[in-house]
Amino acid sequence: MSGQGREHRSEERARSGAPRGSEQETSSGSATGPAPPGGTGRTTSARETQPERTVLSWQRTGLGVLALAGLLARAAVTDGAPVRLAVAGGVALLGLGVLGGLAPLRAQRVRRALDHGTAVAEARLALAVTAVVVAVAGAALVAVLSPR
Amino acid sequence: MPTPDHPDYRFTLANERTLLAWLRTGLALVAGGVAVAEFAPDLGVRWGSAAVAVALVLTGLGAAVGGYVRWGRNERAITADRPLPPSRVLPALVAAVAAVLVVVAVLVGVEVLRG
Repeated sequence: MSGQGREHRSEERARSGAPRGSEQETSSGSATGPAPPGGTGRTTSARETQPERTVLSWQRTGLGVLALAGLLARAAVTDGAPVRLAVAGGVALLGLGVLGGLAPLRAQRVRRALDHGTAVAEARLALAVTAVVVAVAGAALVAVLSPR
Repeated sequence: MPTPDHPDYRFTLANERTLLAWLRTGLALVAGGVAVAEFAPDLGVRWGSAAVAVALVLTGLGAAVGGYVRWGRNERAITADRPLPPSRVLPALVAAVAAVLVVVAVLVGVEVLRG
């Protein structure tokens, strides 16, 4: 019986996100109790770090677009091509859109889906970020093919 | 967390990260193409540099589109709780990059032989 009780408590600890070994310090308080339903901002519905990793992956993709924008801008400046510099600026805006728009939007949507237990898949966001990369590749193709 | 209509939300998130990894692979290939055109404009023969650059950018484009198609197939398999379908995108990408590398090697050889 006591073993069962301990198992139950450790499950509660895992849910509330408290680290192992913290029971002794807070055993008299209610800090290790189960998370309040719906969440109060102190805990999330996530039980592991996959949502966090996913958002970091979105951010890396946005940073990758920004890095390519920097490379295109450098090539445009060294070749003295103002139109290509403007195209590089457009690519930079797309990168900022992924980094500052799609990534936080995705983080919010995943959090909401986990809170409500609904589907996390977002086909439109996947299509949007793919379209960004395709557009960036098109801009790079123009830059590569333009006479220098 | 399995629900009646979905086996595990983590599979969907992992599939999404795989799509983003494909997109970043495509971005790296596109950046490689731009770098070849910018930093090696006179590689081997007259149009050698431009040909390699265009090939790399198109390979990057293909990686992005192929990664998206693969994401869609994986997502359908995950939702139906089936094993993932085999990937034809990966061998195609490897073949394209290998072909570009062979062309680059030939162009570098021409460059070296001319002195």
